[in-house]
Amino acid sequence: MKTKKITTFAPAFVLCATILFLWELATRITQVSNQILPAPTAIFDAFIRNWNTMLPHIQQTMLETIIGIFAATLLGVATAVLLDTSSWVRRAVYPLLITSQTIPIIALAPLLLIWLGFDIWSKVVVVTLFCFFPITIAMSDGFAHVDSELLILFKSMGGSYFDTMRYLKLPSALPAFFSGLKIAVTYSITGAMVGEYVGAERGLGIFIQLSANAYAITLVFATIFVTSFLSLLLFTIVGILEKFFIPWHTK
Amino acid sequence: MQTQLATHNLSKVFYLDRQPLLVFSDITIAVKKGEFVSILGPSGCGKSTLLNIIAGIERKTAGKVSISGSEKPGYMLQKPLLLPWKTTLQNTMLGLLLKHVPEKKAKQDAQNMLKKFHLEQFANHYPQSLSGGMAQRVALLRTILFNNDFLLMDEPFGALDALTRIAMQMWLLDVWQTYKTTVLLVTHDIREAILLSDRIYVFSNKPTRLVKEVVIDLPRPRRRNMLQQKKALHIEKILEELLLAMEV
Repeated sequence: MKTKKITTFAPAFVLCATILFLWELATRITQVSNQILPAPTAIFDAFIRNWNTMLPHIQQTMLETIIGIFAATLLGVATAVLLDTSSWVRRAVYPLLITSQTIPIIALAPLLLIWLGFDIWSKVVVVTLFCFFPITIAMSDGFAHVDSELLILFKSMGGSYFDTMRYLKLPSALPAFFSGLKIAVTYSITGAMVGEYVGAERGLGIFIQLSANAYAITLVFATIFVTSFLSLLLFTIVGILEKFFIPWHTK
Repeated sequence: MQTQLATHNLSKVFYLDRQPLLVFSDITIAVKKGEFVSILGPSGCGKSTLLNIIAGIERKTAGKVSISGSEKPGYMLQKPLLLPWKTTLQNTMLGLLLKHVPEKKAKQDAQNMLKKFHLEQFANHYPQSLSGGMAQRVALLRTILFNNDFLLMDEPFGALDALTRIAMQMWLLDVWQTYKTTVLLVTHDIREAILLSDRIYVFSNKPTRLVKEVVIDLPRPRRRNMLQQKKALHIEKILEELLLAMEV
């Protein structure tokens, strides 16, 4: 099992290492300035030296992100359940839902700042807006694809709306829910940073802005790497939760 | 004997792109309490729709359906339809939970049921680890536990291999004998219908009508070798010719 895991990730690992190596090589050969394209080793060095400064920003962003993901999950599942109640509700709400996604969130962020203030809540809302849509759509899709014969079976046994939801629809839609959640969490940190960009006291969005303003390009890159790493970490956690909650599906 | 189910001039019309499509018309059948009745007919003759209407899943267009008692009939389909996230035991008790029987009692009843029919060693298995025949046995017990008075079956053994099907037919007779259940079985397997039934209704195709009613007076309990008796072979021949004529 363990050896299998390693071989699965081996190609990706080799590819990453190769890219980093070529990058390092290119910066050394061309002697390009650290202010334009820093070498991977310089970025790593900056990351280590500034770890203590970065940590509170990472904590802040992760706090906003995680609260936002929870809120998005609740909102997403609730919307999907609402859409599932009748085709009439679906036809009324669905276009509105799609339209909500055409609003540029970056334009909405300053408004949220005015309404909700500088602390974490304006960012939490941005994360929620970023994340709830893929969850809603995936979950909705999951509800739509519940085995129709199982629905007949439940109907033949007089299953109430609530019981059909509990025993059949929610468990059936779990795999779809997790697909949606995986997409959502990869966006989530970016969402928080967008919120912070507009105005915040702490957070990776502000940190990256301050670094860029100070021409600390190595730190900009370090922040980008940290963001990617954290996103991958969230993705992995969701994958583990998925295996835990739907063992019948991952075969 | 009391009547468990009676339909009178039952008709069903589907609308496909606003075009009316007659599924069947004027179906009048009756099933007595404790009787085992089969409906035999070519595929696509609306047998499943008829069962759906009796089970209360689809609406009839015209006619009457009367079922004795207030309980919904148990309904068993071709696929076992076990929930993959529930164990055999939990699947068996599903009907009781939907009837809002307290969980403790439902569990106890399901356990007794599995024990009675020698499936208790599978109680904690998940459906993925059960064979097709075993899964269908669990489905039958779930249905019986939901309602052991009246059972509707829509080609319940159609997806099984020949040997498993024979074993399942004998097992069904065993369950039927135990509970004196009324059964209405839809099938297109002539020998299955003869082996199991007290009476057989034969349906025609396009338009679907009731064309024949055959009484099977073979003794009970039935054995598989009774199909070799002269009487049984004679009925089989008649039914085969009748159904073959419709396939053309």
